[in-house]
Amino acid sequence: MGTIKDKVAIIGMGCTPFGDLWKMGVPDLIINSAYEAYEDAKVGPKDIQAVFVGNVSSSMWTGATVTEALQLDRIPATRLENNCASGAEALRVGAFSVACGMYDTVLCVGFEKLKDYGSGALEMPGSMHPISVVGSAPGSFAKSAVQYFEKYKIPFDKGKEILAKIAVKNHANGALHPKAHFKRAITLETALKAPMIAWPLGLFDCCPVTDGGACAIITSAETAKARKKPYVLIKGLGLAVGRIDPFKGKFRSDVDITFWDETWVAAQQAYQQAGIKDPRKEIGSAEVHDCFTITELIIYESLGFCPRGSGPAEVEKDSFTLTGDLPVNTDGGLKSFGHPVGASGLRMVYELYNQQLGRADKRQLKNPKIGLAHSQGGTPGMFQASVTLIGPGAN
Amino acid sequence: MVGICSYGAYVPLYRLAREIMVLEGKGGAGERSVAGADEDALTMAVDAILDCTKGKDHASIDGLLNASTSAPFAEKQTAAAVAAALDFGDNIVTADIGNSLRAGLTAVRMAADSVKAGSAKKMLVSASDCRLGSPLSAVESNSGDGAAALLLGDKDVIATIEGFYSFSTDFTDTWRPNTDRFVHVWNDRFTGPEGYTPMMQAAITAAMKKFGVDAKGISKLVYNGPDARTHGGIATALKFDPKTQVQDGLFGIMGNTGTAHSLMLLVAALEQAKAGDTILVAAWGDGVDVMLLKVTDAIEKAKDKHGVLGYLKSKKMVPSYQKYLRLRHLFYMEPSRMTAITPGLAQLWRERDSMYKLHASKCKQCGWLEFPIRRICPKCYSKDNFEQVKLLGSQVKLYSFSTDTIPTIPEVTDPPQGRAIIDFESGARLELEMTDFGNIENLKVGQPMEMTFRKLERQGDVAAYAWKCKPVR
Repeated sequence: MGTIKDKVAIIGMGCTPFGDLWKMGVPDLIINSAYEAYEDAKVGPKDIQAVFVGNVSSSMWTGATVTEALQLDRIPATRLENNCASGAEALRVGAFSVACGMYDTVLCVGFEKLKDYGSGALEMPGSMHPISVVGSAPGSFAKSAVQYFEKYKIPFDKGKEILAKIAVKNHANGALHPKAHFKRAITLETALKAPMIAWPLGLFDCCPVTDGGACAIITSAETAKARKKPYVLIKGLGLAVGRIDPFKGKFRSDVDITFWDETWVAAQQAYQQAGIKDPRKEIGSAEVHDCFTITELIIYESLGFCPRGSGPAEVEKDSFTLTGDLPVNTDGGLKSFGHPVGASGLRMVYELYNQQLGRADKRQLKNPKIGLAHSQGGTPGMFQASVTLIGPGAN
Repeated sequence: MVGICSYGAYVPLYRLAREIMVLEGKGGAGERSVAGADEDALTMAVDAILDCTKGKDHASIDGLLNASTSAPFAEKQTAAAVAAALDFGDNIVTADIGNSLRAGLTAVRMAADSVKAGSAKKMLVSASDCRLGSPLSAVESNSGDGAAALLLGDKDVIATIEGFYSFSTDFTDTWRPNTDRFVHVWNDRFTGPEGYTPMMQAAITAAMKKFGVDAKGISKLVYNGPDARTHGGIATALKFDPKTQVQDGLFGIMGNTGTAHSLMLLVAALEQAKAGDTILVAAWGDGVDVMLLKVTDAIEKAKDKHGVLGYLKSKKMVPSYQKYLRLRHLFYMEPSRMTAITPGLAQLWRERDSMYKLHASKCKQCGWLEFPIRRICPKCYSKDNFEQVKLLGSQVKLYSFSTDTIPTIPEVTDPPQGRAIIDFESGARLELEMTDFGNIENLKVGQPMEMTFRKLERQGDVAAYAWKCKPVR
């Protein structure tokens, strides 16, 4: 496998506020995030040579949805779909198109308009195997919590408290971000007393259904350096897609639902490209796919931040809070910032970008080192896991 | 000699205390069984046959007759669906017998005749009913839901069939037009004294004369009836001792289970029978069918079943009359606004070996077992090189579980919906819906589970069925 390290730069980014965006349609999500990125990068619509779009639920001809919204005239526009990793995919494939010299200025955009469906839960369109359970994502991930507690002999109340602490951390961080869906800190008691959504997961163990859009304008490292403007560099891109799909009725007796195998593999790919040997020390902050609190707990172990089974002890030590040694989800994560599926991967990079450029306001880390963005679509048993590493530009 | 080789039954988990049904002052005493929201006459027949055929080879079954007045489809056979779910062979006789409360015993006669004639060696009969009385009616209060199954053959019989007697009449006491959901009854001041009571007495008397036995020669008289009082009058009039010679009608703890009732009472009698007993069974409904049985020494070996009495012991009370209405789909529920993903008929058909038969694929090269059937082996990558292996009958353990409050599904008995990942002893792992699980907090990783065939979320006119899991009852 080759490496993407230091070949592609991000020169501008944009992100809409995330939330129940009743006044914004799909074109608004695209336009508002793209024009923030244009202004940031000091480029205009005529500079964009190609578009890569990350989206899950916008049915068909989604490339044209973006060219129509932004009035980009007859340029390549391609929609990429890899479940919750779709936003990260727009950046990954866009980066490859720049790295190979095909295009110089590329727009990578991700968006999702979920609230218009009228459902309180994530839509899961597409062909399911008839034996699969008609159900929601919380019900799937809840089983990982049950098995995790069982495997590591964590009493139920203690397990609930560990998970609640993760929600409290993410809400505290989201409260510091003006664009987050929920800008409200919560107490441990609030999280623990919340109604059950999918036993043992309560309301505050689950990320919301959110509208939003985010985008990045990318170019080659040489071009970025010559522009003499702020930028960041892509240090590594990992992607691992599993092969056992419970949504298609497939499961396997050797699958461990207390560890995210695909995330481990995607992280190893990215670490290898970036030359990272000790992620706990070399990663400055991580934006991870905390669709549920149990997901984040297992992510710590699956990204190699701590050994298997030691996540709860690290949570108790506050290792991953803003003041911890490896802050995770400094912008609030999916839990507090929200999860418009196709936008989330780019929203995570937006936070790492702002941390690298010193624009993270009250959330600003002293030493952001290498930032990690992690997306994970799918369900315990099978994931589409993506890891993106972002580091400082040369000037 | 032709006889019964095995028996089985199914009583759903839920019971409704009749005192809850007091809105119109018709509550009454005792309790009745209530099928879950994902159960119907088809699924209960599968459960009763599972009980009956425990440890037996399904491939040796030559035919299945299913008796019911509440089959889920007016056009589409229940017996064929049951046979498919239970993975009986393709070249078997299947038929639905319905429209009368004595159809269960009529089906037994037809099955016994085909064994006797030599056209079949092993015939299954199931009788299953989930009849609806209109809300707060006496029929609703008196009825119960349940199923029975009998395996007939001419080898290893636990009770030989000594004879049949049949009587047909057009007398109408209870009826349901095709266009109605609810069972109707005529005034019982007429239907009892002019119909059920004299006709049952006459038929049983004529049958005993035909068989050459008298009341003293019968160990147990087993028969159905509209209610406990009317039922009890028959035995007394025919000089049977109600305490020792009559199978209790189970009206107080189960209710009148319609077409299934006479066979369920027979199963209850067999559960308590001993070698040498003589059992006289009568079924009322548009006439009377009567059968005489002689219990053999093999009876003791057949008593490893749940049976009616076993299933009656494990129960959960329906907490309110509203809950009963929900279980029987008697009020409108707004469906959840999630994308419906219930499969279409073409996909169900394509996947039938996995969906209905619960077949896994076993790699012929490396032996890896996987469910549902997978064409490429994930271990050794051999393609289309597998044999189909049955999972049904293999022991099941709970690997993990959860609930799910988000979808609103009328076919979920006890919301929130239960979900589970289970491990089959044979090596396959499966994520599926969990039903009849009670309090989620009482479940334990690793506990034994069992499979049950249930309704999935209904999509338009198509009712889909699939296997779910539940804690062992």
